[in-house]
Amino acid sequence: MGAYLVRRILAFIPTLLISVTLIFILTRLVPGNPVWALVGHQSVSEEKIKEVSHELGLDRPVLVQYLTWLPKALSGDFGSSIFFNRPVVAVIADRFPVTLTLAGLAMLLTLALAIPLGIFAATRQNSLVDHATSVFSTLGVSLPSFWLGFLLIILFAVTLHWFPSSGYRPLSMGIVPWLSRLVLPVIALALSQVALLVRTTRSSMLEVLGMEYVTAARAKGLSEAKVIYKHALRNAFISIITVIGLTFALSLGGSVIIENVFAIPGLGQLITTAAIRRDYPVIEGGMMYLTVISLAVNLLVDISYTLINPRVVYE
Amino acid sequence: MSESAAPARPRNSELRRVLRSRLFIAGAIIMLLIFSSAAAAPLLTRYDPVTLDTKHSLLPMSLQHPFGTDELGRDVFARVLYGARISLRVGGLSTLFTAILGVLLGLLAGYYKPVDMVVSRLVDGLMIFPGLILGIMLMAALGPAESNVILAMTILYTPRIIRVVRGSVLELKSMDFIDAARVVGAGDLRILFGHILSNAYAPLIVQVTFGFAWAILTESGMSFLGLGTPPPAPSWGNIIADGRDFIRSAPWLMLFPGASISLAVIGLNFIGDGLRDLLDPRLRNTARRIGTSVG
Amino acid sequence: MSSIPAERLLDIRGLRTHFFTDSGVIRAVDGVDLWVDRREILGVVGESGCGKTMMARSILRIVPKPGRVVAGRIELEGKDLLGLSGAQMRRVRGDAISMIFQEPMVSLNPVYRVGNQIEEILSTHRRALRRAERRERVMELLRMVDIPSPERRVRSYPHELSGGMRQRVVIAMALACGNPRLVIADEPTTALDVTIQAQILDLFKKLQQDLGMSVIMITHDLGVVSETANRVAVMYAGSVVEQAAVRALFETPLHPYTRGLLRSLPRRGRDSRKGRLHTIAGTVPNLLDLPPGCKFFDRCPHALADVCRGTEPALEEAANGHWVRCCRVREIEHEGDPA
Repeated sequence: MGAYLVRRILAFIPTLLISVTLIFILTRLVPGNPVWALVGHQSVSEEKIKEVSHELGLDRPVLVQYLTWLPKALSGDFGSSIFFNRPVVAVIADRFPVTLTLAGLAMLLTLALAIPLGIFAATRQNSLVDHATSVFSTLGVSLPSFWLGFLLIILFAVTLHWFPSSGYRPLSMGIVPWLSRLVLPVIALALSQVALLVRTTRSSMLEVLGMEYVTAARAKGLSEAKVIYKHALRNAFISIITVIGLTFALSLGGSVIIENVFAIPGLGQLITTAAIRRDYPVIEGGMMYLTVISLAVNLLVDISYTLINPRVVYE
Repeated sequence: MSESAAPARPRNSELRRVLRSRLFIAGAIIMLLIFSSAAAAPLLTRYDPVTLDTKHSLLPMSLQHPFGTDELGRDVFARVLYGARISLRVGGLSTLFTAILGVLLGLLAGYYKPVDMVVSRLVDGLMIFPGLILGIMLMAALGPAESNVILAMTILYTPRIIRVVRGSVLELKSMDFIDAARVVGAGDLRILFGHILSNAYAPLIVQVTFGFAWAILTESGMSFLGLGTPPPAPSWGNIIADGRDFIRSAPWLMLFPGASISLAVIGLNFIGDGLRDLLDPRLRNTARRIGTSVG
Repeated sequence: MSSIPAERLLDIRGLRTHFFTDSGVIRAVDGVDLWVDRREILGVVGESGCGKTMMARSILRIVPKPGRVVAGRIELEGKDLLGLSGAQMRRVRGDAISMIFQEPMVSLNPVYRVGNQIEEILSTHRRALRRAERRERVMELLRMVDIPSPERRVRSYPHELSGGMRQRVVIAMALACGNPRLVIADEPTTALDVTIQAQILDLFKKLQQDLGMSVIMITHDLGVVSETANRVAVMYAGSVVEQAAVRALFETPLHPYTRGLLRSLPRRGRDSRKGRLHTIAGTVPNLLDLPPGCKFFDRCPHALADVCRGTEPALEEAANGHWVRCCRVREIEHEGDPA
């Protein structure tokens, strides 16, 4: 197991390098932009441009820039934010826990809803619940999350006044203020994930329930519950786990929009505004952060996969 | 092994099967509706999506303005109709480019190991970034323009197509019929495009259809954030972004464009689901546990 | 092999199991009468699609949806299994009646160790046993089926075992509770190499003798049947068409289908120079659309429209212990077969 872990981690290194390089290419190689971002769009003298360029190291050959940038990027040093005048790492550190809370809660909700529903739909094929689940899941992946967010706001915040419509309060300010501002955004974020995971769970379970070992388990006289939860589910999870990992990645991506809709000061919001304002150090730092998180999640999924499926380790 | 004496199926039963799939039909009807509305926009409304008319701003729904007007007096119905053109155009073109590029690279990567080394690494590297985030960054780097949106979305979705196609190629290339073709003297190109592609098209088509749906969602999402199709173009995402300040006073501003996005995506998802049901069982064993193989 | 006359263990009458699909009703099992006595091995033969597997599943009532048993009686020692409640039936499965499936690689759950899978039968049916006792019993079972180094194998996953060993594990599972009255073996050797086949069959016969259980052995391999079974039932298109002692069936087959089957076996020796292999003309009828009356009518070389087409014949005793479902069985005996 230990050797397998090491191998998997090593396999991620090329991916990490490629991603990091892509980040570099996108931000540095577009001509002129960082400079304009820094000095604004007022008319500036050639002198000033040269000065700023030199400060940012942009007058050196690209490869040199890349090689000086890379070790710093890999160790988390992205310099200072152009707009906040604080180190990028600090800015991100402020925002990240918020996004993590949002994405994490959304994931929990997704798991709690989607898996039981998927199992239920699979064991009662063609029932009303099954059809309703199908319809719901198609709708869930089709509605744009920002629109859904606004619908929720209109219904629950503006009309019913059950929840506040936007903002964020850290846990330190109390459970109720913290939670009440998270209910709507988490629902909006989780809905498409639930839809996707329900489908996956259902089809995975259906496939497994058709397998001979499930019939054989019944032939042994095991109770239906044992057949489904001990024999079928674990096999179904082999496919489901991959989608769960995907779900988390989607949560992170989806949080960009949800944070915007609900005015939540998270990482997604940070990257979006940085993109609009061309605050390149922040963009780079944020992307790097997300990359590392993504890789970590992938690794976790791989590990869980080997734990569930005894055939894998011997590849 | 004996088989049941069923008559051979006539060719047009394929068409009949397609028509019997309710999902596919429903989706096709929806998309037809949207497409024709977009095409016929000048006939359906006499308003222009960009002309301002600040005297008539924020009007609720009426016969004259079926979807009301926005804060700058523009007729929302017109905006939504012309917005359909944007969604279909941007979504369609990016999907088309994605398909072409994805199939090419996927076939090559699946068939030739050295190509695979490079392409797979790139694909992995690109797919690490959670969805929209890479798109945002691309738009920030490229600048606001519709063509850049198309480019960005192509870059975002191509990796997925590559993976699907590559997977199919890997699965198929070790099969006997490929060896048989080689023995007869078929060259690589003929094998790739003739034999492999003709067997791998099913999951590809399904994925491309879903890709179109994804493109519409993503374009509207990016436009909503301000990093998509630049205003004043009436991209559905833009219309919603404009309307958000009036969520309490004029909620209808967001209702209709959002419903349009949902409708288009639902339509495409139905088509994709329908196609998947139609194409899938034909590739696998039709008689599963029952049917002809009861024994 | 002579059969030891004894009391009846299992008696199936008029079994019909139909599948209700969108395309129509598939009459997978459509008129099965067969019985098994104690300590007897009954072979059930027939081609793919004749309903033998579904018949087996009907006995244990594990027919997959959209199928279900629609008619008949299945009596185990006098008690009708079809009338039992779900909980009662579950107690029968794996204990009084167990089943060995065709392909052990797919009938064993790939994510659990084999020891675990055997043990769970014990924890289901023999609650009184404590953990250590269960473990001991599992080891005993593995030894009983001749699995070498059982203490290692018990912790193996199915994919870590060879085909022959997996089949032994499956046999061990069938015998786990110690005293099955009936073991249904569905093509137990089809998926194995020929050399292993012989080993497994020998093991099976030995266990059957030692434990005194009855066996229904489903197979399409007439060779296996002739070597292992005491009696044979021949199935065609969902019905049992002939049932007799092994010797009697092979020497004097009465039903035209059986006769056709046996004649189509390739022969060695004098007859090998006779030329082409005999085949039975035509194809198996579509189970969605079975003709009324005798199911073999379209392919039978002895069929007479006015006699055979109308009603379906009943299974009748043509000679001592030799039952046939055919309207013209007497005449056929005299007629002989076409060249």
